[in-house]
Amino acid sequence: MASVKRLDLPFEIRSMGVSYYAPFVAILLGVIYVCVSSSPDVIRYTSNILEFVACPFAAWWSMYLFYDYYEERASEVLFSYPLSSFFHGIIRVTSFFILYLIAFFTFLVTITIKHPDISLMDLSFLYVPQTILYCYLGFTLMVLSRNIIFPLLILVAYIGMKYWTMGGNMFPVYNVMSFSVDMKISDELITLSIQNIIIGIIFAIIGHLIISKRKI
Amino acid sequence: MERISLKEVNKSYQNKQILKELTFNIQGSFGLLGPNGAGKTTLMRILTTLVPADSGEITMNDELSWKNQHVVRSYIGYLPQHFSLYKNVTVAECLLHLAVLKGINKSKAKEEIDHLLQEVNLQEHKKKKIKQLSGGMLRRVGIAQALLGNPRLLIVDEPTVGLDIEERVRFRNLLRKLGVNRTILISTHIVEDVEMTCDYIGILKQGEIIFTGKKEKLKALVAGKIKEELLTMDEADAIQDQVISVKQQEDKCLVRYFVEKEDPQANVSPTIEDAYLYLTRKGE
Repeated sequence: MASVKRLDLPFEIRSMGVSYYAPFVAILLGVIYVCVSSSPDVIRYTSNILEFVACPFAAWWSMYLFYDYYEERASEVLFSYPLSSFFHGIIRVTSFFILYLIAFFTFLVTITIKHPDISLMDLSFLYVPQTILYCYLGFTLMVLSRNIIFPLLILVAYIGMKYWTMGGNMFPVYNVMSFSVDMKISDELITLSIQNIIIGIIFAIIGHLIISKRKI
Repeated sequence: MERISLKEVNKSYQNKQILKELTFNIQGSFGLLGPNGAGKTTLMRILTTLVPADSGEITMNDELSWKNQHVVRSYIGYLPQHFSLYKNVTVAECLLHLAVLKGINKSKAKEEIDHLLQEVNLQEHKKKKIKQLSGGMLRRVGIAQALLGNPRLLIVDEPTVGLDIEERVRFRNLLRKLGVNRTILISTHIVEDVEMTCDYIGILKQGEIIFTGKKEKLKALVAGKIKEELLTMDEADAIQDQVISVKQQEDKCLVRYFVEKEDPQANVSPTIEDAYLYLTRKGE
């Protein structure tokens, strides 16, 4: 764990260039919508923004952190350094995930300020597990494909199909989303959240094993 | 200086044996020559711990085993054939980050980077972004990152590929200088790279090491076996399997070739390229 000291988030941010700001832009648009919308369906639309835009953006940095590794082929140099695979993968991805959660909670808090009947606890139980799953799914897809386009396409296709079918049988793939219309927690949704966390952890382990076994 | 010993090292990919029972020592400034597909890059990747060998043993000074990957990585500096990273940051920022990743503390790293940038002649470009550098400058950043932490073993894969003639000469001189006080392994298919930068040579052919030793020993293998004479194009074509080089001279050609039998006129002083061609063509 001594290698945690070698983390340099400001450098990683600079090296990502403008790509770094995409999750902030998505969350900012969500916050603006919550603040200015007067639609009677504002809760339902906000839920959709959370599930189909804000949560999936948890995968963004997990993928872009490896852009230089695989697209620029820096992996050959970086993996020859005295650093563990755990550092290259889980530690870097999780650090950026924590950064993402800070922005994400800003969005959740804005929702609860604007709509006091919605509990921050409920929002956290519903949506944070989804972000965990997307974060490590992005990581695994990136280290598996070593290409930024493949994981982006998979995620966009999955989210698009889920939005279109609203979790119906036309696209019989596991539903990460709760499709909640009131953003309130229920027993069924607690089960979904636990499943999402477990799947997220499984993806983290798979990604770590891939990066440990196959360096270039 | 360090001595790296390889003992019966094997590596296969998809049932194809890439490296076969490699047993030899790497010391001083060592040039690994071989045609494309000989297994050079695979061997470099094994030596840099990026891929494991299927079997065999690698040690440094008969003490440190390559099984201790983490320790080995702290002793090596590596410049791969393709070097490009962090295009959005400056040279100095990039090297500082890489130094920290290597475990050098920031204040010490800044001093070291200044020194290295001077050594690779990039001091005045340190505020340039990586994406603004020419191919030669990028290679020099690559060698600077490999030298961070003053590694005991420097490994450079295909050092001059993609460089123009001027940059090539400059880079060879730099490698020559770097090889004075440390063990340096240069892998290449360009004979000139090795001739100008290395004292020891290894030749890899189809995954097997067919020669290791000093440059003089390699040249001695073909002493008395090379002839140079003026021939017509038809005469040169008739012995094309033996030809080393052809230079057009008015209506005839000056042909340098290997002789099959003893010939008192075969007294041309041999070069590394002659010996390399002799060994790699043998058995074809």
